[in-house]
Amino acid sequence: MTHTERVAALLVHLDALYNLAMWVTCDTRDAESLVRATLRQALSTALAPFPGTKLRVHLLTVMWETYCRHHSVHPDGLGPESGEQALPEKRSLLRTLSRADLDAALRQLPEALRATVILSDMEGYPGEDVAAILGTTKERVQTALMQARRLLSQVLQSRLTSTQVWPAAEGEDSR
Amino acid sequence: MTCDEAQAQFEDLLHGRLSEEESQLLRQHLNECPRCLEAFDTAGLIASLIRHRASYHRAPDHLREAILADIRRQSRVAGRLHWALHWLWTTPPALCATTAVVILAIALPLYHRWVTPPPPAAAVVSEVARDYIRLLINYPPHGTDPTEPEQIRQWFQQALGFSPPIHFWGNQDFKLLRGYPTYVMERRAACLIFKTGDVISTLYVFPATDLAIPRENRRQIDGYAPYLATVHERRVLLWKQEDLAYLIVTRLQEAQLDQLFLRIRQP
Repeated sequence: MTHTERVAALLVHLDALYNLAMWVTCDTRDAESLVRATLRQALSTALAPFPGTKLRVHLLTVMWETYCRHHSVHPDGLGPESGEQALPEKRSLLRTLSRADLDAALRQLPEALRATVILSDMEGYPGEDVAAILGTTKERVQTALMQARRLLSQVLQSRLTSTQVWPAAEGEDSR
Repeated sequence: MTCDEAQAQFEDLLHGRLSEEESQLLRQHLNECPRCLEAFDTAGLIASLIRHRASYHRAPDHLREAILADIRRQSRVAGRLHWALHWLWTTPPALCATTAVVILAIALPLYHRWVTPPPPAAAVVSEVARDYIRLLINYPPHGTDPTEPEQIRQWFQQALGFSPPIHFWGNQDFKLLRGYPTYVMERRAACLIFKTGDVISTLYVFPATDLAIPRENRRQIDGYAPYLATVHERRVLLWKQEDLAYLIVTRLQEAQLDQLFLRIRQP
């Protein structure tokens, strides 16, 4: 693989890297420096063992590791389990929520849960890949996803009920 | 299928990653279990909202440009290094020159240290004879003028890094005029100057483990056999004690020279 080919192969995944970086850091400058650090590190190692989509998983793994080195991320980041489900009559109303409401609700999740939701629901990666990127098991990814969605559901319904009162929910953004 | 097994497959069902058979089994469980159906609906709804309505942050153009600039900078440095190495190893004249320089740089100091032949006794003798003449012409040598043996010893220790074990520091016949540090064959040497009547005699002492003394021209003096040479009417006696070479240069007659030698040589 020539140098130009390596660079091209890396840049294909730039959007995926930047999207996750933005969602974990919630800051454009932090996200950009995280992406640049990730690509610098990736270029200094051999890319041959990571063909195709494996390269994307590899890059995202490098990025998550880089982020965790500089931030104290709790691997679970989860609050206590809550069995509360969305009420059926309200659920359909969730579709009426705006992009800003969804973004705000996502930002309320702890970083690890937020990264899980972004990789799994937004990027559509299979559980094994998400587990590989976040350095955990597929089972923990499943559990984290269920909890993240439950929390999101609660936050979004509170948003529907009152636009002013946000629940001080378990697992609220700790930063 | 249990509820846990069903929930473990939600993601795959949501993203269409189940086989027909697995999908059928899961749907059957969802038909029978309202709680799992509820959970699956919530999961599907949230996943769908996130996928289609939450913000997807695309990398801005300036980030792409900054990354390309980073890479260009890195590859320029790496490229230059690579080019230099490639040039060194593929161009025969440059390769030869580089190798020669490296070999010389390593070998020269070693050659100096190990291969340079030890100074022949004749060269040492003629050098001390020349030094003796210079001394007579320029007498007294510049510098301080200690006459006390202890002072001379200290001076040797400071200037030479060693003080030769000399135990004869002059008497009525051989009056010690002074001592001073000098060089013999580019080695640091101690020098003592004695005076007998009008005649000056010098004693040089310096480390010379590698100095070989010729077997011929030995003068037998009371059981000792130092090497004797005559250079421009000056007599030079050379002998070794342990790792040190001793030389006496003088115009004294042989009988007096023997006396001086025994004074210095005998313990």
